[in-house]
Amino acid sequence: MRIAKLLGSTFVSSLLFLSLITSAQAQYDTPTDTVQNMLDNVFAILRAPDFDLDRDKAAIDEAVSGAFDPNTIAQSALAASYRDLTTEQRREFEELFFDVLKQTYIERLDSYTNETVEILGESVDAPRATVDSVVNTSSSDIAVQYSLRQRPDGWYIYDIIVEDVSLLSSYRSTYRSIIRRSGIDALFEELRTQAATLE
Amino acid sequence: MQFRSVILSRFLLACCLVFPSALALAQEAEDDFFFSDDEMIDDEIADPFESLNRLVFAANDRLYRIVLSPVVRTYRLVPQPVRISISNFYSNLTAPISAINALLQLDVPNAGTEISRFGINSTIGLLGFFDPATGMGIMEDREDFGQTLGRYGLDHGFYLVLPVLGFSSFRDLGGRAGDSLLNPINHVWDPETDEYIGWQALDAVNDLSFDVDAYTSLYDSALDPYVFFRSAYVQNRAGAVNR
Repeated sequence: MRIAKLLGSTFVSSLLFLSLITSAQAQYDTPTDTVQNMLDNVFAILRAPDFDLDRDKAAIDEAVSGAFDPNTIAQSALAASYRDLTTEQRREFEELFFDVLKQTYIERLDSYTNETVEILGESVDAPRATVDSVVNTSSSDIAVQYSLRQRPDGWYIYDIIVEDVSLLSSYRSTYRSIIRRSGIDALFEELRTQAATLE
Repeated sequence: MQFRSVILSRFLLACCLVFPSALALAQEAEDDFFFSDDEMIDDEIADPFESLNRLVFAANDRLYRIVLSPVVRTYRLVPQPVRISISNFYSNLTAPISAINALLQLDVPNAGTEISRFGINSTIGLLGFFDPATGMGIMEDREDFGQTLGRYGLDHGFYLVLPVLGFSSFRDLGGRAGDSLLNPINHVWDPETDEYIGWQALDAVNDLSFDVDAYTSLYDSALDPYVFFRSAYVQNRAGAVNR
């Protein structure tokens, strides 16, 4: 009896567990799924008739965050310098930089005026992939490309390339120049100050 | 039965311990790509005049924030369809320049595209105020003389920040000069006249009116905005040349 109960409960919990895995994978199964899912979530909020950026910021943050890979973003932004960081420093940088990115780009949604996004296709070279899209604005079409990395549980975005400009490369260059000029501690100091002012 | 469940739990525990570390190992090796500096550098440019460029960049930034941005904000009172038409008009006027550059790059299909766009938009599009060509699926693909020079292997030379006009390079400054020779407007007015300056200013203000805050929010997000925009400029131009 006890065994039957035990088996029953493991059965139920493994079912639950499996369904969790499959639902996570359904979202991030292919690079396109990840991007499409993220866009759908954001647009659902943006297009709500009573959309208010200040109020909906947290919801957008949530809709966006799951699709990105802050760890890869951090590694790539510091490149070789990332190796020399302690675990705590890595975590701190990851958090600070991802926050700067989110704050900056979520704030940009303030100028949202019915733009639409069309996904054109993906090219996969595992564990990396790119998804091509075009943003149709009232005055022009903007080419936007997403770079994704495959993790055990799916694909995650680590870079956005707008009109051939990789955001990650641009930030990487600024961090490299600061590290070269004044060292890694100065960079952390500046990042902390920036995080405090952005909030 | 007791025994079995012990084995089972041990097995589960072992799986939990082994799997993540195996995954971590695979991850570790793969990380190399994201760590390597060589893979990443795609925005290098010589910048021998960096100190002077930084001064001009700072002055341009002030000009943008103090003068241009308030003007653009007020200008946004002009209804959006009108602003789109103005943007279409300016862009249509320079379509022939783009076509010539496409020809110089021996890209005949693109030259054809730009010429048919110019033909369609100048007529059915009422002097270029409307853009029916895009609706017909004939998409804009601009080429300038800087791109033409780049296409023939000419490098940037070095980075330049021009007063008012902004980001450029030795090559692209030459390209700008080449294109302006072809620009009909330079044959209508002298560059010193108020009409000419007003004409160019309207183009700039109208362009910026679609997104006033993009520049400032990117500026604020970068700890060294000078390097950030230099990198963005080089990447954008490289993409334009190689497309």
